[in-house]
Amino acid sequence: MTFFDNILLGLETALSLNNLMWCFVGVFMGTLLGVIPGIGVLAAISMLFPLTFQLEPTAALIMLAGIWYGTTYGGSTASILLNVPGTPSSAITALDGYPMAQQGRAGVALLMTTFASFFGGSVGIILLMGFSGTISQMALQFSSTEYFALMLLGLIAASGMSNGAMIKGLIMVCLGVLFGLVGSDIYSGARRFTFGLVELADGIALVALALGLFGISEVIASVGKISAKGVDPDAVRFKAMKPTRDDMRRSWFPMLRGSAVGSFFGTLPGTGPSIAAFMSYALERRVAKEPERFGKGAIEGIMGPESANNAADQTAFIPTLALGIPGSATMALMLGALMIHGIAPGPQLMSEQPALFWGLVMSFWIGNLLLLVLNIPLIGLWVRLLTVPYQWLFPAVLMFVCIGTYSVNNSGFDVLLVAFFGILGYVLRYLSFPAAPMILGFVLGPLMEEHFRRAMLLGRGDPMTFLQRPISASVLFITLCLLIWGVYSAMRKRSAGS
Amino acid sequence: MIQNARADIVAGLLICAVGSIIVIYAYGNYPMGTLRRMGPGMFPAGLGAVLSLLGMVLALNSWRSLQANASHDWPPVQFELRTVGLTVAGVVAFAVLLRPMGLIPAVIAVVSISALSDARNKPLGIAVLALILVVLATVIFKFGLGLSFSLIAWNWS
Repeated sequence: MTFFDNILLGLETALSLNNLMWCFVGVFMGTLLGVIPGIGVLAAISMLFPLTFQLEPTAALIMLAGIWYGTTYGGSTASILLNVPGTPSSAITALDGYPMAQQGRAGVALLMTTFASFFGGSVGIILLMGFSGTISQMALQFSSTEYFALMLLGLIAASGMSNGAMIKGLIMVCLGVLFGLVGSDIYSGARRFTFGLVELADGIALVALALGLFGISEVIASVGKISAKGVDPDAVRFKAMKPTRDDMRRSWFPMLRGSAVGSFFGTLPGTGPSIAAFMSYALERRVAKEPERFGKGAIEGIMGPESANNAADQTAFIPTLALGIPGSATMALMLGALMIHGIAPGPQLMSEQPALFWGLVMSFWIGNLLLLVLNIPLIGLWVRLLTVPYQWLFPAVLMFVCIGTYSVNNSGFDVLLVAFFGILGYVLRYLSFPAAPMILGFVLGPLMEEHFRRAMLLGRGDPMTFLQRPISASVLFITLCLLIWGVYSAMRKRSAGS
Repeated sequence: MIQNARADIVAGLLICAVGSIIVIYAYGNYPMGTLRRMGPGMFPAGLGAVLSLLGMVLALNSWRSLQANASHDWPPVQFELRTVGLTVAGVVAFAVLLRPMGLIPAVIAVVSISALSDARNKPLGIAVLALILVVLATVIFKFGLGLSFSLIAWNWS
């Protein structure tokens, strides 16, 4: 099949009425939850995760992806209007977006971020279409040895890049892997760490872990801290959205640079939209002729990061879909969704499930277009949602979490697990342990064990097998460099502090 | 949230203990196998050892920085015991009540118990909120998505 056949197949799949509808639902719900402060991307995806179980895999993934970039967009809305970032990846947008809103230019800022998001997203999609094929072709030759090395790299990178100390990230990864091992051992069938509970024989449900760690603990952390603020609805009327010619002129290059930065950081393991947005902001400030305008409502300061985080959103799918190795917690959830639907992720995905792969890719475009069309008229609605007091919203969030978790397996035990992981998540958050690496460890853990054991079997029990194959040896070398760099920068920070 | 050396020492020691327990538990309960043919216990035991080591490093590191820098103090962020307790109690109540009593009582329980954790919520407001959410949950999940739970029931067995 040629490239164009693939695109046609993708369009056909993505434009089917059913998939189109779920794409719309995903984008809409994602934006809605993204606008609500205190609900991040991970919480939003895990809250809506159970809904996708009733769908066929393609529709489920299309909807989850829609939730993801919808949340990113909704997060920027809250950033600009309230200076309360709805999601971490849009925290940077608040730096210049909120001053713009204070100057009565909220409408312009919202409209322009929508364009920037669409632009960045499109660049990411084109790269995804171009590179996935090549990478997955290459990956077809990988054996368990390479997979283990790549997963190790992904986990270590994720623990190092998240904010805070690398050692805490590593601890969280290990804990995540351990939770992932609960249940029946794939080789021997032995039940591990189930403590005699029948409910744990199939392992801990991903939904329960994700909703506890992100849903419940985020709610606990924000109760009593967030109060609704008044927003002037007039600032976001359609008439107030028209950007000046100066705004347009200033926006082109930040959008291009932001997309490049975002695409790059999206593909790397452990980095993601938040880091991409941050880097893009730093870059814009450095290349600006008048850097003193930044922080006071410079439009470059929102266009760069907004195209960067959306480009990163899309390119993060490259390693996830082409290799089956997620680089971030969000991608780990996507992968989890695939596996729950019985689809093995990996390089063979593109050749075995072309309709799913290309349908998903083309749906990104349609979803981004929907975002553009949907949000211009709906900005008013999002603004009104921001004025609903948080003390009424959070019990509703908890209710949806409970019903959602229960509905996956019709299991009250899973709801109890949510409560358990909620407490654990809050305690870990309190002790400033990052929660995201845990999800990554949880999803990758069982796969890693499987590949490790298979590699050792093929290598006749000699651990040197990991160093004898060139690809795995170089990946392990990079991993080691990352570890050394982490230790070095921690030591430098300490000596600077004392 | 907090960057506190004393809290990190405690956390590190706890993690170290958890790791050691896992090693002992895996060693005692699951066959280890050989390096070539690993049993179900090998990978968890190795992981427990790594975890234990990481916990130790964290504790030692924080202890050293506490020695070097005495100005570390207890966290400015309060541990919200009331919020944690009430939110989690709400979720647990839902889990316990759903099967024997049905969706409506379970939703009322989770909404009203968790709503108490915010002092701004008054009894009347909570009642109205619970009513709205009961209707919403019934319409969306029971009639909209057709999920299989009874709205109201009585079967404690």
